[in-house]
Amino acid sequence: MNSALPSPADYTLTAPLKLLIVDDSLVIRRSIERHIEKWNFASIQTAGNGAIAMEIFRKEPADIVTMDITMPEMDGLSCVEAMLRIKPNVQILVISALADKSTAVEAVKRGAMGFLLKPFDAAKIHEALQEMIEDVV
Amino acid sequence: MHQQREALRPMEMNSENESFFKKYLYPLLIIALLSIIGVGLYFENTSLVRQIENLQKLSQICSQQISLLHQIQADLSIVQPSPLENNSDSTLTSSIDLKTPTLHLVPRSEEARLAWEQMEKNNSILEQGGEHATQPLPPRIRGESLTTIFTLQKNLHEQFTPLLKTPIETSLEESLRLLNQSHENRLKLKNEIETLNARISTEIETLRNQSTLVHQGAFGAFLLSALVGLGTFFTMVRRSTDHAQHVFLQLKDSNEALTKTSSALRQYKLETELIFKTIRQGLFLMNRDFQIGSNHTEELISIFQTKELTGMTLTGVLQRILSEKMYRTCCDYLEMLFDSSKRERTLVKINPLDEIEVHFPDGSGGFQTKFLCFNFNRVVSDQNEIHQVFVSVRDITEQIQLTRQLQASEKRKERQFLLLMGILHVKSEDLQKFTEQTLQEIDQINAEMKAENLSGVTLGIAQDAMLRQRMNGTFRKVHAIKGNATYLGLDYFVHITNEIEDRINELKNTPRLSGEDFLGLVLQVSELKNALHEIEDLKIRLLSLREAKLGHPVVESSVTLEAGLENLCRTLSRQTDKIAKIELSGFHSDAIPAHRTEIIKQTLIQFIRNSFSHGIEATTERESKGKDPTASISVLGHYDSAQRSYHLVYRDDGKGFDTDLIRRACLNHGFLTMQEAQSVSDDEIIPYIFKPQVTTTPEADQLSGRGVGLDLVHHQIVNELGGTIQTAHQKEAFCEFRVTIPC
Repeated sequence: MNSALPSPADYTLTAPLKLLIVDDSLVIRRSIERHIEKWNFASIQTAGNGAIAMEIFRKEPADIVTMDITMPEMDGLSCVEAMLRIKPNVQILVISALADKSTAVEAVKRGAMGFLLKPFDAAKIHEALQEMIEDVV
Repeated sequence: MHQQREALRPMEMNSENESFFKKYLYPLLIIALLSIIGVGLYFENTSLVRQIENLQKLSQICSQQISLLHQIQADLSIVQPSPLENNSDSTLTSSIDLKTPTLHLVPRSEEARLAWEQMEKNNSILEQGGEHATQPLPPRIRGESLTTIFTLQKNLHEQFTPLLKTPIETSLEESLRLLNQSHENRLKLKNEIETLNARISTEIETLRNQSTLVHQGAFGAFLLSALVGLGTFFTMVRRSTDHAQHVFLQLKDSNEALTKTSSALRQYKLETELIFKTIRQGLFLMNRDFQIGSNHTEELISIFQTKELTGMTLTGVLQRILSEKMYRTCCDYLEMLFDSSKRERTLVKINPLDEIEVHFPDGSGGFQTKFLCFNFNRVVSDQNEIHQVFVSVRDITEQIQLTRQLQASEKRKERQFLLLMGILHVKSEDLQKFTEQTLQEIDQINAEMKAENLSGVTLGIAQDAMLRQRMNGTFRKVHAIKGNATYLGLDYFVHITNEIEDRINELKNTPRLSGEDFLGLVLQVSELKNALHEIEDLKIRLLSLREAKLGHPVVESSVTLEAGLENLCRTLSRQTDKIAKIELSGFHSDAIPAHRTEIIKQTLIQFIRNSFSHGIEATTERESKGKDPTASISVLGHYDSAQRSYHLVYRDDGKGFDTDLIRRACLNHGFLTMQEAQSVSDDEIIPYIFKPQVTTTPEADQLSGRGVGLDLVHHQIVNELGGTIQTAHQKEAFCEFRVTIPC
């Protein structure tokens, strides 16, 4: 839109941040990974359900987490709370396809910092993640 | 203006100070001068008064001298008869009447002497100029009088001396002579004293006049001074009055300014009120207790359908119009609006009230549905605290309704688009064939329906059975259209045919059919026909467009049957959780006799759809069985010119036929009795898949599963063309169809 701004795909992190992508859909995990592959994250990890996500997070707490709300094993809301207990300043971007905003409100109430509605495009995920990053840096 | 006035004030003060000196110094000097003159004159007057008093005393002395002189004369000139017993004592024998020898001058010498001494004393006072006078009388008063008086008195004294001796030595005659001699001197003395007295009186009069003048002067000076003082005072008063007036004017100015400000404020208030009245949005401020501020737009009242909002909370309003769950969510949300740790942008995104369906009681026991749109903006103080939230609320019911209408029309447009997209990628020859065939099928359907007596008169069970038979025929035809549409990728037709199939299935479950039940069906079929005409129309228009662009008639490269089959597999793989690849190395459509191409195409389409519906497992299921997630379909075909027949072998590597399911379906549809079902072998049960309505998937879907696909194929090949269809299968490994079609 504005040619003066650097393309979001070329956004470069100023700090070495760790990203964790939690989503039960492989397609969405891949999609997010693809959207931010040039952002120079220190590490990018993915998890297909809440339990795996928590396992990863306990070993290596990420700075930014994208979190699907509805997942098997352990739902996103419980994950948000558990992660915040481990690392209170973790920035969690909740991603949900639910038209019902109650879940979104609940997630933010429990401490998620951002919210993104599925389906999303490159611009939306870029914007949402950049907001998270700005809050960490 | 006001500020300028303020700025000028110190300068005014300076000039005021200057003028103060100018205006007050001179009057003060004048007052001082006048006062000095006044005081001077006053003292002058005092001295004059003292002089006057002195002169008055002197005048009295003069009068006293005259009376003393008279007394002396009287004392000395007392003549009385000599006393008998004391003749000898008579010292002065005189008689005015000398004829009376018995008379004697008996002077009261003592008294006369005392009076004389008094006169002498008075004389010295007169000489001094007064009893306590420091200087003698001025010459103009004194003149020669005093000298004359002293001389006369000296003369008189000489004359009187003999008379003053006691006892008197002189004879009466002598005494009388002396007295007569002194008469002239006495007279002179008396005159002289009176002259002096007159002069003194004149002086007194003069001095009195002077005094009066001085007195008046002093008075005048004081009066003037007082007047000047008063004048100054009044000037001062006037000045202070002027100042007061100035202050008053300033006050008036500021009052006017205030009036202006207040009228501006009133104007502003009126405007605000007008805005609040006219704005078609509910606007208000909400505090931490979710209380609705008293300043809100009028619209808010109509939006919330309440008479009074004062003291009400937003949560209170929401509780009335929202579901319990939504209300709780909204309470959480409103709490977070005041929580500065929550990012506002995130809160905007998750706003649960941005398009909320609410229900208001309509007063007659029912309710009215509205859609409201709330927006929340934090009001952040300088200290970064959130005290209030600015809330705007709009009634978006109409918009929502419009949006829904728009969505419906969008859907229609989408269908048209699908139609267009469908025909764009379809070879015009195939499309032509499709429309021709479909029109033919539709005409047949319509003919069947028209043939029925749709007057509503029921002919009992016989008619019901007949209707059901016809309906099955219709179903088969519609299903065939669907198959063709899927093959060509005409999604819109797939959609409509699916709807017709659904309708027929509904009718099948109806206990008793009547002609009227077909009305809906007729309409749907006519929609199909309309779509076909639309396709024709679109096709022509597209063709002309393409020709116009290319500048020459379009020569289409024909899409082969092989490509069509591959396309179908890809489409179905995309639409399902199954993936299959079709192997066509042993199949060449060129080898098929032209008049059998259509039936072979139809047959293969049905087989492929059947595989996707029943035989082929989902990728995950295949993975768990250790199979390649991608299923494999193979087609072999050859033309036996000797026997003049075409042989087709179709195989998929799915799970094979589910014989238990087929058995159950046969039982359900009454093709077999329980006994028969138990007795027939697996190989014997498989051919039942070609019976109408036998299906092995629990739910019908778009692909197949309504038990008509294979039914149709079997009907055409075996019944109409006299061919054969054989099956072979191995559980969890494959299923196979061997088809022979006479050519």
